[in-house]
Amino acid sequence: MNQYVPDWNLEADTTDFGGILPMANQKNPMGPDSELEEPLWRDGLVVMHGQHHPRASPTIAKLEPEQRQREQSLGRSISSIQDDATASWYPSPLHDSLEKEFCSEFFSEMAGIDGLGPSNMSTIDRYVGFGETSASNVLTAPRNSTLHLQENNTMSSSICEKSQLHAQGDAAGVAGASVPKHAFETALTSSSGGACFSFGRTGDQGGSSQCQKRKQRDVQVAEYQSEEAEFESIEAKKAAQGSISTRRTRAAEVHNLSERRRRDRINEKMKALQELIPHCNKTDKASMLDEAIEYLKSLQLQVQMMWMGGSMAQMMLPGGQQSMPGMAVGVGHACVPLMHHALQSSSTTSQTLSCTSPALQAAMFRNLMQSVHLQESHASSSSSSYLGLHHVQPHFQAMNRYAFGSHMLQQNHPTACENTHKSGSG
Amino acid sequence: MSSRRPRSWQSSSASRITDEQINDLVSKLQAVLPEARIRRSDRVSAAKVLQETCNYIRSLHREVDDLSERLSELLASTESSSAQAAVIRSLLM
Repeated sequence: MNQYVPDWNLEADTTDFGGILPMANQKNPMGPDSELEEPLWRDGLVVMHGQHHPRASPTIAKLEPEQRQREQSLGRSISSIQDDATASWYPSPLHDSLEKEFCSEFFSEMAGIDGLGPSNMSTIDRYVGFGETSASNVLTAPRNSTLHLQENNTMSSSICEKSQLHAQGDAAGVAGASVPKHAFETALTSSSGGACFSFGRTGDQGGSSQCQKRKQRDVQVAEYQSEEAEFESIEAKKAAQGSISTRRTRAAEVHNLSERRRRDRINEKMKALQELIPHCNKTDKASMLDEAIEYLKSLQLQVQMMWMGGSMAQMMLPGGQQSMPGMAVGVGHACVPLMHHALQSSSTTSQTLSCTSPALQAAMFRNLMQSVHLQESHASSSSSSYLGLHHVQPHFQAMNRYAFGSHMLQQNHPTACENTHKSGSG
Repeated sequence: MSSRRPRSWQSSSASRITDEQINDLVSKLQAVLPEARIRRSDRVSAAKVLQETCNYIRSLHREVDDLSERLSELLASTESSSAQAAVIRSLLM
């Protein structure tokens, strides 16, 4: 692990860095220093203190070769540039004393290579690999774009968050300005969200405004990341302070987060519902739910009507009974109780209609049409706007009773009388 | 009826949409859903109800499509002058 950083004065716990690297992409329990390192690498908000900077660097340095490998595996030409560049850049930022000059160099160079595209990315990679403390933080921030391509979203955004805390405002702003100009914008989701999150807060540069726009777009992703980061930061806090108060804080935080998640889920479902409902331009929850309820009722009625009409039409066919009534019964059991009753009626209808006279069948159809007209004339319900038919439940049920009551009267059919419509069929 | 919970994100000032109201609507929605009549549990979350509603609406859409298809077939097979055809046409709109 330390082979990459021979000149670094590391503390003994280098083994932790072995854990940090993979931890960048996963949650990884680590040694005593790990909790201090964790926020560095976690997504979202990070709280890191100055004394941990030296440790941050070797991890980043260790990352760098892995990044390089991934890049090469992607077959990017940049990797070759990166290797060369790495060699030249590697030794420079190793010490804190060089940090500030490196930052200034970095940003001047960043400004200079804005338009270079891929080569820019390679320089960013170089920078990230070497970061000292804040230098590394600053470097990692623009590196987010490349890291994203290498599927290091989590790490990059966490690094970015760290950089937000330590990077100078100017540095962050300049780096942020250069990032959006890359072609990687399309690929930037969480990483850019993370980057912009920090940049927006630390810098007033022009780039930060762009970042803020993207931030709004990616705020949801950032929120999810920040949630996880909050968990980690809570753990860190707890370990650092360690007391009942932190436990309470943690419980409250957890509660807040779970509540937020719940609300997010509900909002998601509301959006999906809104898409299903036609011509729904309402945005507030209550009216949307209202519309959903009405639409659902009208849909149920429509389906019911269609079943009724279809089965009756089939009965009228000289071909005799089709499979529809049977299916209607089968489907009815799985559907709305209204439909259930109607389909029971229709099944009985099918049984009876085969025996009834054509006159009766015609009468039934007339009833159906009358009911349809009746409903059309009663355009009170707003659900009528959804369908051409103006469905009013009571009328529909009246129609049922009327339609099937007449034939029941004539046929004295026992089964048809078993449903609730019987009460009105007298 | 107003339940003012001390939570910061409750929008009780501008939009006047209280949680109570929303819960009311959700329970109404639940009442319209088919399974609700069979098992009615008070602790069904709004998310679940919304999910069920979406699923139900989709299934109803499918059913309407199916029925429309069948009705149109029927219409094609019957004489266009009968009352029956008129009914079918009105159903299909």
